[in-house]
Amino acid sequence: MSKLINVADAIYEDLTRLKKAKDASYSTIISELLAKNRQAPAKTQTMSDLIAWAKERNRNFKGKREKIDHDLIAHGVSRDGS
Amino acid sequence: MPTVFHVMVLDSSFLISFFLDGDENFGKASAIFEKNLDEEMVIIDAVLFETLTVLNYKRGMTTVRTTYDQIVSTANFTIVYLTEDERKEILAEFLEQKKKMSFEDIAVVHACKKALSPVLSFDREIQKLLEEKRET
Repeated sequence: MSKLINVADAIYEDLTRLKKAKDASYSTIISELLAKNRQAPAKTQTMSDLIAWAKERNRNFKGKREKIDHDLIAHGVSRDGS
Repeated sequence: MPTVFHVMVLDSSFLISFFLDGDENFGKASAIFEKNLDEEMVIIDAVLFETLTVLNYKRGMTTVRTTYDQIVSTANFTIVYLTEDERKEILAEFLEQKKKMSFEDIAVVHACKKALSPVLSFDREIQKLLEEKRET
């Protein structure tokens, strides 16, 4: 006996797509589903916009200026282990 | 005839200097960006993760999310996701090194060598290794 289930349009769309892509690998389908939910924002700004944003943010910075020894940073920790 | 570069590879030292508010190298980093307004710039995934990790440690996740949004919405930047083969090649180079460099540093040098691109970096170890690789 079939049972009627009410699903949201978005879920129905995904299920339909999965059925169509039955030959695709599991990872491909999962990647597609994840990508759909995590779409990157559109590339809306130029380098000049980015620089202006960063300069404004630095002007408003109230903390102490920081000097990082980049030669010593490796994945957020210093190379000498300290 | 001068060499014309079309793609620049960014490393975490440069990105951190630009995106960490209050970093002493911010002026230098923004001046370099200003000189290269139309250049295409590549950020390797591992470098992006390292940068965001450092920013989280230094300023917290709000800064990390803002930085990520700024990076992905800027037309000049392309995030390159390494393939399994590329990761294996970089891992082999990482294991062969005689220095104290991170996987991410080696990935930057690897990308510069392959694409014949200059690096934007404040890390002298990366610059030294790149010069050595270019001489060989």
